[in-house]
Order: sequence, then structure tokens, then C-alpha cells
Amino acid sequence: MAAETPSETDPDPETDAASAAGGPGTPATAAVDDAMRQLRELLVNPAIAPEREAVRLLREEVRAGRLNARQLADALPEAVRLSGADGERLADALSPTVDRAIELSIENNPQPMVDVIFPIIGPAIRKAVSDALAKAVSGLNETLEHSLSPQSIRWRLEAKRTGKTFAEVLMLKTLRYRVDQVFLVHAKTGLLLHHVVAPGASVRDADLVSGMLTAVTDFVRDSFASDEDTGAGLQKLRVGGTSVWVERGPYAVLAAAVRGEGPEELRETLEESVESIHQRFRDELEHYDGDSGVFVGTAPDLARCLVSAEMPGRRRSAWGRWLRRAAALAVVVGLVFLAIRSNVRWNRLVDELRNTPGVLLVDENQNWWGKSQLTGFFEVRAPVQPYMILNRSAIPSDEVEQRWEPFTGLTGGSSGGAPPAPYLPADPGALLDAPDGVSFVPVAGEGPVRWVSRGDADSAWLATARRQVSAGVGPLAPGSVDLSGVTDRDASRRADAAALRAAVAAVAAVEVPMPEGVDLTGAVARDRLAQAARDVGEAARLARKSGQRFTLEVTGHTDAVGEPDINQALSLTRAEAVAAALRARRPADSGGGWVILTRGAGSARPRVAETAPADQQAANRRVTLAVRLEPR
Amino acid sequence: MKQAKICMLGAFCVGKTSLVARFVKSVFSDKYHSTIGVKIDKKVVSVGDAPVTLVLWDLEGEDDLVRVQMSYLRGAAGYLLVVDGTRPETLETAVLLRRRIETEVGVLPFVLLLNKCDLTDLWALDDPGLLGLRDAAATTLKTSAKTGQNVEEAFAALASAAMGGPAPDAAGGKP
Repeated sequence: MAAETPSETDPDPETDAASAAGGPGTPATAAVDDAMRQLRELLVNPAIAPEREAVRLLREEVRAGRLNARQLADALPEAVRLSGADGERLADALSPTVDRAIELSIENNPQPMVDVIFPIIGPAIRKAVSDALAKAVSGLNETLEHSLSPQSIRWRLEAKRTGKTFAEVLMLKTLRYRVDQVFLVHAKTGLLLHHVVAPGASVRDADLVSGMLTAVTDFVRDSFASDEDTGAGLQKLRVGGTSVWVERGPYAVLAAAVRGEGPEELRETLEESVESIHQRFRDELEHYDGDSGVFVGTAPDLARCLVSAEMPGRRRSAWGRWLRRAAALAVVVGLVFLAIRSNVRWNRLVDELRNTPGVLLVDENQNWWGKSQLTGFFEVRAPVQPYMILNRSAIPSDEVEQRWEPFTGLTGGSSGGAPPAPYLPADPGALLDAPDGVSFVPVAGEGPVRWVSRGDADSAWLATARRQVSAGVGPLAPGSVDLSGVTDRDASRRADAAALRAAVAAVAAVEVPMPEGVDLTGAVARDRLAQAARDVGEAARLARKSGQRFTLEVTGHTDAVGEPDINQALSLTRAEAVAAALRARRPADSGGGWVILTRGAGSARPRVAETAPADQQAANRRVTLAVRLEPR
Repeated sequence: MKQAKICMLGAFCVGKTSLVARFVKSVFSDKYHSTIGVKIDKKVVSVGDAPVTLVLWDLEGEDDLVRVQMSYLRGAAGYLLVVDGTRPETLETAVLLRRRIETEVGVLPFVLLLNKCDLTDLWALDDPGLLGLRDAAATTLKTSAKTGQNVEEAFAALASAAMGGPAPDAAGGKP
């Protein structure tokens, strides 16, 4: 220690105190003194004063520093809060420091940072992508707006109903797929954490499948992936119509088995589920010890991935499909053919009706269901009747409701625009050469026209007419004329004549007996008178009917006894009495008065010969009647 | 129910698969050995009162041409190391395998199985320490695929060693 001579004027209380405390010079004290001396030198040596000072300062600093840190720790939060309320200064000031700190942290070990950010990053990216996609989809929507197939119209309605865009519905409908099952697998060990299955899907041992899936992932990565891909995993396996979609998170992997063509939205759903699971089960995933019971809570996230789009129906064999189409086509073609044929036939019928002379078609109405209708007039004398035309056509009569009214045309013309065509009139009067007293009336019906006749005609004509009618004449069909309404004049005349003769004879046969004088009170007389009145009435009527003048002759008779003059007067009186009696008894319907001539014949015409005995001659006392007819 | 991933390895043709065939639930056929190098089976054992599902990764046998893929051991709670008692070279393979595991994956509990013990006149293992494996193993058992001897015990032993040991996740190693 090369030191300068210490200054004597440097008082040191410690050395004074030490020397003051010193005792008599014993060996122990000598050592102490020695030590003290060395110490004094050190202490007093001005060379070490700076060191001393430095030490002192250091000590101060340390003490102060410790104090400061403690104080600072207490004060810091409050200070930060206050500063933050004040404005951005603290943030500004800290910002570069914080940035740098983060940089360093990530450089050193990115994994924790990634783990923390992982649940957040997904949604952020998706938002950006979906915005871009929405624009694209709206463009797609525009294009689709203009397609108008019936299928697309149905889908549009569905879109409106369910609140989706048409593009979404379109994609949903044209894609057919189903997620059959979803595995949640621990990334490192390949152990199964949880597993959900869609109804109806078949399942192999889920534990083993998840282990194998992990093994396969490792295998593919180890065998084929390049170095940059370390950490990457399988994303999709595909075999035939089935694919396995794998979505990885830091600790767990989601694998979904999809049957059919899954849409890209499924990837999004898987990503969301993985993120959600990592967020909610972060602790359990980090500290997984083989107990999977706690992961039952992931079921909703997994079940969310069990999406499917309706399968429009199992695929049938191509043959069956073609057969069905052919059958449907055949049915349609058949129906169309029938419709056309029916239409053609109807039109043909209508045309023919229109072009037939004597037929006036007013309305035609073709019905597919029910009966068709024809309404019109037909000339009664036309040779071709509507019913004939209908029978000739291929349309069955019971399918058509007809109403044809007969008319008598003044000209022989057709109802269409064609020039009048000559035709033979079907007139029974002319055809049968009927006399004036006979008239014919047509009766329209469903079939051929019938005629009804009225009037009377002589027998000869009637007989001929009957023959002709039954055989048919000209356009008149056999039996189409009813002659029952025509009375046979001859026959009735003959009948009348016969009746008249009978009546006249009956009158002539009447004898009114008058036993005594002019006594008509007897019963017999009265009977005879009544009878005579009837007979005379009948004769008178018939005579008038046949157009003859009727005169009744009443002749009185007596027997031969007595004066001829008296007998003559008596007979006349008798005749007048009977005439009066007959007049009184004249029937009301005899049509007018009778012309009665009375005569007395005396005994000129006896009934019984004069030579007969007297009591028989009483029969001569009578009145006889006779009818005289004269043509008018 | 707790689950644990365990692996089974050994040299080519030591009888790993036939050893456990009757004791595990298999869904996948043996062809997976030659295609991706692992076949996965399942076994349920009891550790204490609790049942434990062991998901067994049966790895293909190692020989000069084929090396076991270490990545398959990731996350395993333990493994069965199988040796063919009639072929001493399989013991050396087992030693190498264990070393590779410890280097590339980490220290894992294992059970050493000396298979084909029914072939007594062909038995060729004379080293009592079994090249140091006996000490390292949680248990060493003589097994036979033909008789099924000690197979259940092997699984039970490994399960309790694995359960009692660290959690599978903390086996560490490269992700």
C-alpha cells in the first residue's frame, strides 16, 4: 500500500476513541493495538478515502434504492392510472417498450403467444373472408335472379321463407352430404376425448379409430411432408364418397366423417368448434391426464358439426329411371293424342253439320268431362238429318247432348255459306197424294222424324196410304207416318147410312095402339110413344148428318066398323094426337123441329083382314109412323 | 374412465401381435403393420379400483430394413418391450430401441417381456441382467403367446407403472 503521509489535522473520532479505550501494554492488547494501528492506517489513509466514500455512497444508494423500489411498487399502479386518465402520454411512452417486449417474447418462444391468440385469430380472418365472399355471393345472386326454372322458383320461395339468401339455398339444395360422426382427439396421444354420432350412422370402435387417425396423420406427415410442414396435419382424407375432414387446434383435433360432397361452410363450422373447445376447455386440454370424462361438455360444439343437406332420395338404377321417364312420357303422349283426336273428330262433325243443307247449327260446345252439346234447327224435309250425321261420325251418341228444333224452310238452302242445293221435299201429303181433308204434322225427336196425321179421307185413299206408309215411300222411312188420326169417311158414311136405315125401320115398326077413340093413356101406348120418340129422334139426327131432309109421316087407322067418313075423321084425329104427343117427347138433341105430316087412312090399310073376327080387328085401331127421306 | 396410450415394440417377429391377440379388442387387421407401421388395439385393465382403457399402439417390428417410427410414441404413457427368448439378437435390438426412445421421445416407464417362454429347449437368454434392461424396466415377465402366460399381468403392470408415473402429456419431446 503506497500511501501518502496522512495529514495530522485529520481528526478521527474512531481512532481517538480506540486509543482512549486502550489499556496497559499487554500482549493481547499489543495485538489489538497492532490491529488497531493497521486499521487506523487504513481508515486514515487518504488514498482509501475515495473508496470509503464510494462504499458509503453505495450503501446509501442500496438503502435508498430498496426504499425507492418499495415505494415505487406501491405508487406505480396509482401513477399509471392517473397518467392514463390524463391522456395518451403513458401509452405513447410505453408503446415502443411494450412492442419490443412482445417481439422478444415471440422470438424466444412463440408457442404461448400462438396459444393465446389462436381462439381469436380465427374469427378475425373469417370475418374478412366472409365480407369478401358476401360480395361475391351477392354477385352470384344477381346472376341467379334471372333464372326462372320452376325448381328455382320453389327454392326462391324457400329462401324467402327461411330468411336465407337464394344463393345459400341453391348451394344447400344442390349439395348432398351428411356428417356422420365427429371425433375430438387429443393431438399428442391420439386418445379420444369425445365422440358424437349422427342418428343412423354406423360406428366402429371410436377409441381405436381416433388412435389410428392420429397414427395415419403422423405417418403421412413423416413420410411425405417437407420440413416447412412440421406442425401441419392432415386436413382432409377422401375415399370414394366419404371424406374425413380434420381441423387442428394446439391441443385437440376435430375429425368429422362426411358422407357425400361437403360444402366449404363445413370447414368454417369445424374451425369454430375447435376454437370454441380450446377456449372453454383450455385448462383441461393443457393438463390432460387421460381422464376424458370432463370433455363430455364438448358435446354441443361437436354436435354442431353434425350438419347435413337433405338427400333428395336414394339414387335409383339408371334403368329404373329411364323406364319411369318413358312411362310418364308415354302417358303424356297418350293423353295428348287422345285429346287431339277427340278435337279433330268434333271439328269434323261440326263442319259436316254446318255444310249439310237443311241443318242449321246454332251452337256447339265440346266438353272434356261430361257431355258435349249440339243445338240447332233442322229442315224437316231435309234428306239428311242431324242424327244421321252424328251416327256416321266416330263420336258415340251418348256423349253428345242434342237439341234440334224442326223448321220448315222457305227455300231449300243450307245454313252455311254454300249456295242453295236442290233437294227432294219429304212431304207426306204430296208423297201419299193425300186429299185436302188430311194434314200432316211432324214430330221432332231423337231419331227419324215422325209425322202425325189428322182429318178424314175416303177408304180407298186410306187403304192405299196405309200400305205406302208401312212400306216407306221416298224419303219417308217405313212407319214414320201415323195415320190413326185420319177417319175413314166412307166407312163412317156407310155406318151412318146403316144406322139410319135401322132407325127408319125401327120407326116404321112402331105402332101405337088405340083401342078406343083417341086414348093414349094406356101403358102400352105410352111405352110405344116413348120408344117412337127415341127412334124418330135417332132417325132425324142421322138423316140430318147424312144431309137428307127428314119428314115424319104419322098415319092414323081405324077398323072397318062404322061410317067411312067418321072413320076417316077419327083416323086423322088419331094421327094428330100421336104427332102432338111425339112433338112433346122430342129429344133435346134431335137438332131442330121435325116436319110431321099427319094423315088419316081410315080403314083402308088394315093390319088384320076385315074378314077376321071382331076382337082381332081391334088391332087395326092404331097409328103408324113412317120416315121419308129426301136429299136436300 | 381414464385412458392411456401405450405402445408395444420389439424386433421383427418376436411375436408381439400374437402375444396380445387374445387379450385385446381388435378392429383393424394386421395389414396396417406393413402399410403405416402401426395397428391400434384396446385393452381395459383395473388399476386399483378404477378401470383404465389402454389404447395399445402395436408398432411394426424393427429389423435391418425397417426402423420403428419414434413419432408414434409421442404422448405414450409407457410401452411394452418384447424380446424373443429364443433369439438373443432381439435383446440387443430392444436395448437399441430403448435408447432411441429415451433420446428422441423421453424417459418412459416400460415392461420387459421375454416371449416364447414355452419353447424351453430353445431358450437362449443367459444374461441375468439382460443387458441392463432388467433394472430399467418397471417389471420383467416371461410370456408365451401359446399359453397366454403373464399377458394380463404385463398389461396390469404397465398400467400401474404408467398411472403412477407422470401424466402422458408431460412426456415432452418434440411436438
